[in-house]
Amino acid sequence: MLFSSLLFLYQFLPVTLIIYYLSKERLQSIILLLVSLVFYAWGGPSYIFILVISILINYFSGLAMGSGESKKRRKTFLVLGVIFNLLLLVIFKYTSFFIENINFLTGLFGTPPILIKKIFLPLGISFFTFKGISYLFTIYRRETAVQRNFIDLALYISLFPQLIAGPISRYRDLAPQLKDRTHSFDKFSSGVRRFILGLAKKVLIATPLSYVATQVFTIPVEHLSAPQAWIGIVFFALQIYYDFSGYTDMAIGLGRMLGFEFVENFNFPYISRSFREFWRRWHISLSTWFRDYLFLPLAYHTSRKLPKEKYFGLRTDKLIYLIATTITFLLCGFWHGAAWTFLVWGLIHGFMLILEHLGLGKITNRFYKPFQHVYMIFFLLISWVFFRSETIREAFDYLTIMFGFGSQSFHWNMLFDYLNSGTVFIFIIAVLGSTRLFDKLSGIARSWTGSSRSIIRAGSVHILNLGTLAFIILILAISTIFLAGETINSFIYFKF
Amino acid sequence: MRRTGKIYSIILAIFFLIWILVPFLNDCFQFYSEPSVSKRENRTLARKPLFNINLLDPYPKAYETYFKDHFVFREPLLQAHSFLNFFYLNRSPDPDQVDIGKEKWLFNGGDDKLIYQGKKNLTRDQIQAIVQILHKRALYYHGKGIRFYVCFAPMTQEIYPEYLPNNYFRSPNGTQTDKLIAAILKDMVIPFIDLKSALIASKKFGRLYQKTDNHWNCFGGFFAYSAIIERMKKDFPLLKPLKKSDVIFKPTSRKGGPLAITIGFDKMLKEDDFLPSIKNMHAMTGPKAGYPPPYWFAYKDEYENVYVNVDQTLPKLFVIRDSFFDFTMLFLRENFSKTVVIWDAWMYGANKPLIEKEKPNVVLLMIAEPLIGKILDAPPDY
Repeated sequence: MLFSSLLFLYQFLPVTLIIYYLSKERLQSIILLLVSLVFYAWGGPSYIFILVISILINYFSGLAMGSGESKKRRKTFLVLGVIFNLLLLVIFKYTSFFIENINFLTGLFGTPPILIKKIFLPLGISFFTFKGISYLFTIYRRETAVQRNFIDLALYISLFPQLIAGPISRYRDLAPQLKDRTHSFDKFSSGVRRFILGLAKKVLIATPLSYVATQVFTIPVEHLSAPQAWIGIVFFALQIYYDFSGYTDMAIGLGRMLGFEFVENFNFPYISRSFREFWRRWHISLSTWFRDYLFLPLAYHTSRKLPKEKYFGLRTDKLIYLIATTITFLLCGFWHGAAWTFLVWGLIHGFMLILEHLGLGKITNRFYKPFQHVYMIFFLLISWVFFRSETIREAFDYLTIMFGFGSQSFHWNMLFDYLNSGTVFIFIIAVLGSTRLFDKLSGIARSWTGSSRSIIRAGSVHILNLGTLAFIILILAISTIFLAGETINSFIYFKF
Repeated sequence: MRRTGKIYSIILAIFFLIWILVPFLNDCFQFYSEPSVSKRENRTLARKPLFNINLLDPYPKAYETYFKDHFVFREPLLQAHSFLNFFYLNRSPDPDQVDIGKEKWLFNGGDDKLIYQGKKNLTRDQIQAIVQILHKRALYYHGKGIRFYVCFAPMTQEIYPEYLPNNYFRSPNGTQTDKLIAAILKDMVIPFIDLKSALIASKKFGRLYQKTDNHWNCFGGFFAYSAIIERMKKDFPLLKPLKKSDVIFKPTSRKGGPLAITIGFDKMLKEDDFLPSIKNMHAMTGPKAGYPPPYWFAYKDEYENVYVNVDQTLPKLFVIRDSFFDFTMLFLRENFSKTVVIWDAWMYGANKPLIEKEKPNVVLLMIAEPLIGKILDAPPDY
């Protein structure tokens, strides 16, 4: 069940809120756990056992780690717990990919292929396994106490607002809220606002942008021209940002409605001027997860093993950064999807970070600021081509056309098929919304409410609040119209 | 100021709760209900599934389908969605079924699109099987002294590719129709009439296909007729084909066709067409023999149509057709003493029992291009 679906918004959510707020405080966590399990089961009742296994593994691993003082014991159960978590992920997410590639290689030698049944990817497995690992590391490092209450740990792992697209909240951040949450009209209302804004970002911006991106990406290569290809990838870049950040906004909003406060996941990533900055602004909960549980431990252990010398003309610290970054981003790419294209996407990001670390960053810092943005966006768009393409070959074909090596001549009137007034309007809103402009404008509007003249102050307050309320209602109504539109299912044949 | 903000917070919270509760309460108490059949979608809406603890896996999907179908104010919301998509985003409100081309031409999605793009193909065996069927029929009719002709009514995409959306391309390897026609032409027995070339050549005279329907208009119907009758004239020199000047094409405008209905704009997207009338009409509706239509056929009244001509010296025609023939019938019946038109629920059978009774001189089989494969489903001796 997606947050941006009629069923969630108009049946699951009202029922959840009613039961949650009508039940006694001590029962609220149990209620939330039950609705989270129903939410998960809705995507495939048979798959609920995977989530339950994940909860059990992490619960008992945590207990085992916490039941003794020995560091060795903690380490053993940390390793076991992480292996179990990763095993779940590998089995359900990567088996098909590995078998496919093994079959390709063995096929070269005429060996018959390994045949397996199609494995369905359980909903949110990448997110809840990472949350489980976060819990185990937190316990291992003794950042918080072991969670002995099964309900609370199960709720941490399965909490429905975060279950299928994050943010990947750290256990140490969420642990206090599992026990004690504050509820207020203000918090609920800010959750509603955030949820509706997220819904609008997804339904009213990301989805229309996806129409253009999909239209372009489905044009056969031999018919694609360079400007079309650029339009396609720019629209896709905006689509993925609004899609993902919209979903995060909805999760954060839902969290607030239920008394939680989740971490922010996006901070205007497209205003970045380097890849280093980009990863501080894009999918923050994932990048910090990789930093804390992979990059830093990897760098730390490598630095202990490598004598401090120069390798290939590189100082040890640079070499360690190079190795740790490459591995981290290779796995980060692989986390996004079981395909070579995601691996390449991750490698491009890792490569750019290494280049920036080795000196490119110093050079680009000297650029005129707009050029720094151009540098960043240009390479980012190239990486998005791999993210969007089905195969490496398709990505390279697309890039070839982007850089003018396609055979298709371009006619300007082709653009008008994509760029009609509605699409252009959404595109402009999307571009402006990916900067801080609207934030600044709302800051200016708020500053009027601090006017020394009471009449201006009172008027501004009402206008601002009424305007916000009207805007929120309007976008909720339009989003509902678009969600209803997805229910259409014509049976056209016998009209003829 | 803080107090004012708090009041607005409360208003928003309460408003949101009421807003999301309305459909839920409606689902519980049914104070507003949609009809159980959606005219626009041409289907019966889903019924509430029964909850069975032993059969959980299909339940969520079935329930979601039901919920979507019966969402409160669904029809007006769909209309608003169509409007925003079509006029604001220039996008089809139902892209699986209808594509919006240039100058608001509507194109049938689904199989038509897949066939055009080469994503749906008849296998080599199926093509051979169709050729075999047509070959046997040609021999059967020939044995009865009947002339047999086959033609395919091309899809709009084939005649007006220039109005297709920019990301909509014809298969570079040819379509299943191309392959079938090539195989038919290799068979020396099946007399095939190529309507596609004739229609493309006639585009200069005016628009031949409807913009809001997947059929040709009566102007296109006339040029399809011309191609058919010119071919028949080679075997029946006495036939006198109608010329364009024999027909008055009176411009008319009506509500949009099925493709416009599907996206909810049949009233807004008008179809400019012609009302044809033949200057010296000789054919008129004749008495039906009352052949029983297949029980599953929705348009039972359309199963059999009979026309008789004042000139009884002309040959007799028997047509096995689908909806494309509607706009051709008016012209073709003028050239035959009796025309029996059978719409056999898209089986495109040989109709042997009817042939035995009617004893026509000519049999015409006209199949809409996307439905060519249906001929394989006909019972062997039908």
